[in-house]
Amino acid sequence: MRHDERYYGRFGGRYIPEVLRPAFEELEEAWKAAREDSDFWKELEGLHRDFIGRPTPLYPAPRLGKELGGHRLYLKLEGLANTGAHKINNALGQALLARRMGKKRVIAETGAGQHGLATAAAAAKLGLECEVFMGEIDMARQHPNVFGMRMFGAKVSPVLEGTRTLTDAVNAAMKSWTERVSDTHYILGSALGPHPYPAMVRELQSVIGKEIRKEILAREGRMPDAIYACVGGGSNSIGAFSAFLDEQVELIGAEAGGRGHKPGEHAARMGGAANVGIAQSYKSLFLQDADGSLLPTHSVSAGLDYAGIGPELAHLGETGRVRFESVSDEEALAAVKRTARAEGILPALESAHALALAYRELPAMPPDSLVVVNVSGRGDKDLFITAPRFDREDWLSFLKSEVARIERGEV
Amino acid sequence: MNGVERIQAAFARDAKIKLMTHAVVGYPDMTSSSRILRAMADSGADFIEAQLPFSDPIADGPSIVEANHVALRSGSRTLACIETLARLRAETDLPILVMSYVNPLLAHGIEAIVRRIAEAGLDGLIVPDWPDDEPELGLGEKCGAAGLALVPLIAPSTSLDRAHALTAASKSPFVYAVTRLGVTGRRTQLEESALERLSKLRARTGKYVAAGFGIRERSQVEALAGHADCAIVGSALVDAARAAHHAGLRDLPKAGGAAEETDPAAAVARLVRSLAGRE
Repeated sequence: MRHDERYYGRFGGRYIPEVLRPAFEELEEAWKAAREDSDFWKELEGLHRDFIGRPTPLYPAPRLGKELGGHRLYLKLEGLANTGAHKINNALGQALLARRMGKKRVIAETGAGQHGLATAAAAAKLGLECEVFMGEIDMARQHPNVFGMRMFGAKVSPVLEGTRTLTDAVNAAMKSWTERVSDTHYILGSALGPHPYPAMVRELQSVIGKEIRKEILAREGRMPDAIYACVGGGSNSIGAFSAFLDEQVELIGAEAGGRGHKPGEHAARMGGAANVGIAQSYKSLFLQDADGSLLPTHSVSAGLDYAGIGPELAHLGETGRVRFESVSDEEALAAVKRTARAEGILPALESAHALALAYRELPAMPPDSLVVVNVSGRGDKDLFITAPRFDREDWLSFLKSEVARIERGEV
Repeated sequence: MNGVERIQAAFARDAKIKLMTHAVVGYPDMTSSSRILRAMADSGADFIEAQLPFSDPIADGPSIVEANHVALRSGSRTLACIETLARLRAETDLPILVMSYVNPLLAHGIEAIVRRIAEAGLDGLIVPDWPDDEPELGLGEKCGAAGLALVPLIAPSTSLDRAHALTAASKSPFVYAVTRLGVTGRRTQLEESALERLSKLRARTGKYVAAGFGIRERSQVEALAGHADCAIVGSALVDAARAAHHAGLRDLPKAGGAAEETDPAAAVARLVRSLAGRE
């Protein structure tokens, strides 16, 4: 394992204000100790089974495989994990670590709300106080998750600064942590940020790749030819890829191509538009202007709407080990529909980027290729985004009648 | 006289507590910002701390964050900000320190931007997200070669031994002591223990101590006297500029109103005079 790396090629590191240094030293020590402690893993594995519902299925998608050129296509259904996405793997692991460190409280940032939801659920399960920072724009477009977090007893704090999306939520969480490090652990949600977060999150998400590997070998007796995953910060992709980095398996990351190529219209960092930078306390590739300020990004999926990328993925992209392609909003929406109709599986908009890319590329692959797509989350949370696009009139009249019904007091 | 020497001379001039005033360059726009900086120099500041605007200022509170974003939206570019400071240099002998997060420096190349700052006649750099254990870009060496002070930041949680180690390697005549946990802005209650800590920091490091975060009024500056060598005021000045700027946008033109109410530079000047004990 290469889990204690601080740098990945020229990326990574820990560019934190002096005030956070003790918190990071404590975290690094605690993580080192937990990692070597079989009791920690035993407890986490028990919760994987009982609380998350692991292993998640590796679902053979026969109809889609046939449609796309006669391939053997498997979908890793992380959306069937408790709280609806892979985010719980990391949140629960870090919440256990927080309890082990004697912390009473956890905080988190969230974009799509999935990491916030997972952290809130893990905190409820382990009896920890929880506060989640979420950009005001994301709170509006992913409101069902805001309710979910509150159901789990978490406080959801709107972030009103900057672009009011994920980037600003990360800043807000980090700042909140500087005020209260003694009893609080910051559960960062992706494989990025200052060391040791990229290594720690990757290891907690590596369960995805380990399960894929075990299951595919059992079913097919060989390694897959290719694995697709969507890449926002990169935690589901690095988790899925980590078990295959040293194998002859093509690894492909799908980034948010948004609605165009101009700055502010997409979140495709690996297509050449990003430059080396140090922001949010780590060094990686960032979409930024000539003065180093991060650019606004756009994606129909809040979870991919981010200007940076995890340092390990930036490195794997630079060395060519992982190939990155961008997928537009429209392609992702079409992939949601197609997957739902063909297989009875409703993917999250984020995950739909990985599916769309596979749908684009599979027809050109040799027949009988063995391909896995990591479906990192399920699409229930996106109802308020997909419904008005897929059936505007019906959705509008439903909302109006609901409002009227609630105002009449019929609830 | 290089930057390090100018800073040293300003501290050594007398034993009175000094005042360092902070502004976000380009806030609310470059012209107003230029006037605000000049007003600070004319109204009793001993040092100017001028922040280069950045999208993600991780150590700053809401007031300064908003000022960064407004400055960026008004089109304030890094090199234009340094030009503004070069003009200020021509008008005052006060030490001028550039505060910047690391990425705006990196975007222009550390070597090139340090040279530019030195050529503009500026005196030092304060970089809050530049830890001592990520040395690979050599900011310390490049500042040293250019005669610029790279000011060490010391947190309340930094041990005195670590503070000593951080400062022993630095040519800066002073350290920036953060008076409490958290980010800039919220008013700080200066407890006796915090004041004692500043005295100890001064004794242990042998450097002048400038104390900041949450200093908003003259009484706090006076409380620091004897424990620290300089008080740093940031958010309170940005707040004063903002209030006047907003009032100016709202009430323009209002005959007979005091300039302090609608002119950011005049509002800042008034607060600086008060902080410096000039009124």
